[in-house]
Amino acid sequence: MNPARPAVYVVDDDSSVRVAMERLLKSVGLTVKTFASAGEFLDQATPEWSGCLIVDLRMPEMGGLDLQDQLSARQVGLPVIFLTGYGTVPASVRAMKAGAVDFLEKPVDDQTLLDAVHKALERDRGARRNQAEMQVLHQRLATLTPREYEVLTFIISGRLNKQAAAELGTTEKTIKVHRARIMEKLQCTSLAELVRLAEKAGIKTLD
Amino acid sequence: MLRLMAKVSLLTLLAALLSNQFASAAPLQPAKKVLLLYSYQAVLPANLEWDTGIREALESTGQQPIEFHTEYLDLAHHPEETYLHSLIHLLQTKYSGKKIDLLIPVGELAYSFLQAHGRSLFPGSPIIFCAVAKQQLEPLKPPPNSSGVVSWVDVQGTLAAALKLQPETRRIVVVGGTARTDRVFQEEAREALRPYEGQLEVTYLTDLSMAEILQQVSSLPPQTMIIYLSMFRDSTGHDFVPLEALERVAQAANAPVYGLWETLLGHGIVGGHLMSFTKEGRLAGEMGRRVLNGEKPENIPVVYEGTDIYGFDWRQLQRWGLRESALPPGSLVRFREPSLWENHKREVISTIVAFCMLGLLTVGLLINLRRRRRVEASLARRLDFETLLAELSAQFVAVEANEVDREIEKGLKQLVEFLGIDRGRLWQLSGAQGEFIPTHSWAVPGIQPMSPPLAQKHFPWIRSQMLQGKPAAFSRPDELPEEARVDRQSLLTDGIKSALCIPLAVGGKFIGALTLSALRSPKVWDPGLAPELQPIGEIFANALIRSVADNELRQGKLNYRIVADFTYDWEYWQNPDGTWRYVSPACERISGHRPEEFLKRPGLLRDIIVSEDQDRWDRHNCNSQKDPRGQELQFRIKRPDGSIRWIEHACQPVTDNAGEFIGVRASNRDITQRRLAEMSEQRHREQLAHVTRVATLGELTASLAHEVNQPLNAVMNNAQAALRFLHRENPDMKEVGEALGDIVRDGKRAGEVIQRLRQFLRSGEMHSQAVDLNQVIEETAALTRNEFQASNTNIRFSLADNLPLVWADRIQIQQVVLNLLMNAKEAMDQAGANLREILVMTEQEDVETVKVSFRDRGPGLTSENQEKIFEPFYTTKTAGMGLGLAISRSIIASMGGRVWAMPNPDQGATLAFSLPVFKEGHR
Repeated sequence: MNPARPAVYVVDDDSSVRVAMERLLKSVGLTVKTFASAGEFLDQATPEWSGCLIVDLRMPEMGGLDLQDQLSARQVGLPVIFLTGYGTVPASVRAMKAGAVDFLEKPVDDQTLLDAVHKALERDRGARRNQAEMQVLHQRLATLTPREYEVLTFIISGRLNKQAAAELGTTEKTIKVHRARIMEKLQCTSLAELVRLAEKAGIKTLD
Repeated sequence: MLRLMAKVSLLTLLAALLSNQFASAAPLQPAKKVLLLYSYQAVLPANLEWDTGIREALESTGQQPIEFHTEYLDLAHHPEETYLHSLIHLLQTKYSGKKIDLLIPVGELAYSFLQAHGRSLFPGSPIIFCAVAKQQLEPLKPPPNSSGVVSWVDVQGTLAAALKLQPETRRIVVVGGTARTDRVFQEEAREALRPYEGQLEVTYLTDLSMAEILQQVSSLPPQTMIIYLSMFRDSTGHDFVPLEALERVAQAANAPVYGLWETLLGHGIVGGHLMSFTKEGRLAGEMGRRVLNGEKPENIPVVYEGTDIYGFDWRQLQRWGLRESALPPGSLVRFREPSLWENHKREVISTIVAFCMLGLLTVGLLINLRRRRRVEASLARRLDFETLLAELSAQFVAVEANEVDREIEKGLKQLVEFLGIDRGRLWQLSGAQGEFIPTHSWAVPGIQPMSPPLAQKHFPWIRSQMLQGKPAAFSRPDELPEEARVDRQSLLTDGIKSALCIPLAVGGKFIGALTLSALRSPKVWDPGLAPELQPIGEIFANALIRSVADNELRQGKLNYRIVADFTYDWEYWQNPDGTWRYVSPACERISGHRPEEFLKRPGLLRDIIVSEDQDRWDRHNCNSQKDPRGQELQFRIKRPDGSIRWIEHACQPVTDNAGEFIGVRASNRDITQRRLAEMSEQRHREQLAHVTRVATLGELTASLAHEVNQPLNAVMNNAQAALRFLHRENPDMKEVGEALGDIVRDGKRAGEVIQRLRQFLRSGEMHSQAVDLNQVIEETAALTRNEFQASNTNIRFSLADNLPLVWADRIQIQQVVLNLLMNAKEAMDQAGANLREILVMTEQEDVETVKVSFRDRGPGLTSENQEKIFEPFYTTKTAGMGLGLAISRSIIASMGGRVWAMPNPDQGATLAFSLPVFKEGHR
């Protein structure tokens, strides 16, 4: 399996459904992999897999929603599309809250399904891109010294150099020096960008 | 020679006899000469008396012969001197030269004469005087050579006795004469009367002429008595014999006359303390004897002789009405009249004897007569009794069974009338308490016939007597002993005066009692009556038994008749040859044909059986005679009006005591209603089952939807994919083909689900068939897959291999399995179990039974729930009707199986059902 290449993973205990789904997706040129049970999928899935997941809600042993939980626990970020013959409002709400892309009822219109798949794939791509970016960001953040990190928090909190210096017990000058170095390490050109970046990284402000 | 000897002996005998005469005067001595000198004239009764006494005394004691000379001096009548001289002269003449050995002067006149002239006339002759009054003696001084008997009369004694006889006396009249002797007695009388002069008036008629005296005594006032002394001479100088004078006086007197001398008794005096001349004389004679024997008179003391007898004349007592009881004790009463006895002793005696004998004979005859009468009466009574007995026996023997009661009452009537009492009753011992119940009764009009039972508390003693077999009889309640106190009280309350109670027993067994009572007046029972009535009692007892037996028989027959004829079912009895012997009337109601039609045509029953059922009837009929347990069969018959009836037929062969087959006893019951009800019930059950199926299915919508959706979805996707493949520049025909193939398959699949659904939802009649339970279970489980998955419930199967088939309606079995599965799942839903697993197990429980069980891990069951869960509308779920288990049970039961629930040893419960194994030929 080529991890780089995105695929659609179908999990359904009903073979007829699997076969038909595979055929349909293949017909639009998608790569498909089918699994007869949630367990089977979990056994094989890795975080590198990209693409999306089509899951039946009701399956013996482990149902769709449980699979969804399991994925998030294992930090497998594949977007999930629920497909079910009998769906209830609570189930769908739970699914959506847990981050499902869509909740479809069988028999499903092909176009509806394909749209959902595309959306899911998009999301996955986006997610992965994000992930890569985040990785870089984190690498760069890692290069900051503790002191720089500290200053960073002041800067993104909107503190003036003068204030930061006072609070940190250093001179304005030093702060300015730190600021420049931070900007350089993080390859930011503006304060706004720095703030955005910090926010993305999830660095907390002082307030 | 002989004649001579005879003569001689005769003479000798004569001589001896003669000489005997004189032999008494053995020593031949010269006779003693005794001269008796009487004062009065010869013919004086007193003289005779004296004389008798004197002679008796002198002759009896002497050895010597005595020559008696008697002279009557008659001095009372002739006191003059001239007479005296003549007398002396006479005496001298007579007795000079004769030596008188003893002189006995009788009376004072003679005595004084001797005093004066005795020495000269009879010198040296001793004197024993007699009848000299006391007064006369003294002045005269007994001369020497004399002694004698002094007499005195007891006027006082006589008076006392007279006064006792006549206590009311006021006057005493003393009658006496004027002669010297008279005067002497009068002196004595005056002396004696002196004490009475104060109380009584005393008159002396002593100086009157006889005529005057007579006139006086005849006109005396009442309460007077006369004392007659003596009358030798009255005032006119007339001489009398005192006795004759008395007679005249007594005759004339109008009052009782009392006298002093024995001689007077019988001549008019009533009586008195009497002097006896004879005794006087005897005494003198005895003294004289002593003198004759040599004693000197002066040595013999003078005897003062009193009177010593009270003598009375009975005739006079009667004349004056005086009571004999007032007489002094020891009194002599003479002259009793009318002595038939006295006069004609022999005649009287013989008459008396004759009369006595006659009397005895009469008495004897009377007694005999009475006895005979009594015997006759008793015999008559006995005859009557025997007749009654015979009549009663005959009556009862001849009587018809149903008339026994009437005959008993008639018999009681006869008995009551025969005995002349008021009421007769027959009692029967019955009941556990031993109550005496009155069963028959007859009473005379006006008397109440019946009454409450002879209760223990009212008549304990009588009851106990009866039970011991002892009769009880009493003429009054008081006659009963002390221990029958309570009975006495009850009898008094009931107004029974007399009663006879006879226990009745038959063959030694005690069955009741016969009571005969008198209520109006007491009846005295003959002593022998009670045992006599025993045979009657037995007759009644037997009649009673007959009555009881007859009643029982009648009742029994009636019972059987009622049982047979009123039986609600159509019953009949068929003879071995097929003809019918008895048909109950109910056959008309059930079959529309009358009993006679069946009796006439035995084959009628088969004819009216609906044709489809006739085969079964024929088969049954062959067997019915062989199987002693009886057979049952259901078939339909057609009534004349065309309506159909369901009949449940049961029959049994009948054998008699000997074991012989005597026919078939059958019962046909019209079960049309029941059948209709059953069928209706079945329809309802099916309807209900259907409804629940529908309802259940509602719960499975998700599963169903899912079941259908899956293939549908697949079909859609396959079709869409195929279209896309087709629209490519190079259509992938292979894919298209495969897609279409899958479409067909999936379409079929969906169709099957629908089909099954339709089947499941089908209502209407059951179609029973041979069902493989394992298969049904798997199919049904499939239906529930979705639900189970949603709740994370797992089904584990343990299905036996070679499980026998069961005969059932497939759909309904499915329904039951579904229900039990859902129950198991829901039990675990509620409990929130971690591992929700249902174990479904099938097994062959035994040769005839298949068992299916559903084991869950829910909260389990309490002992209360175990059965309750099968009740309709019992549910612990928030939704649902609670009918599922109830209907499941009903379904399984209608198939001949059962459903039950059990708690598991570890956790949860197991619900199971069993069904009979399907056998060939099972219907």
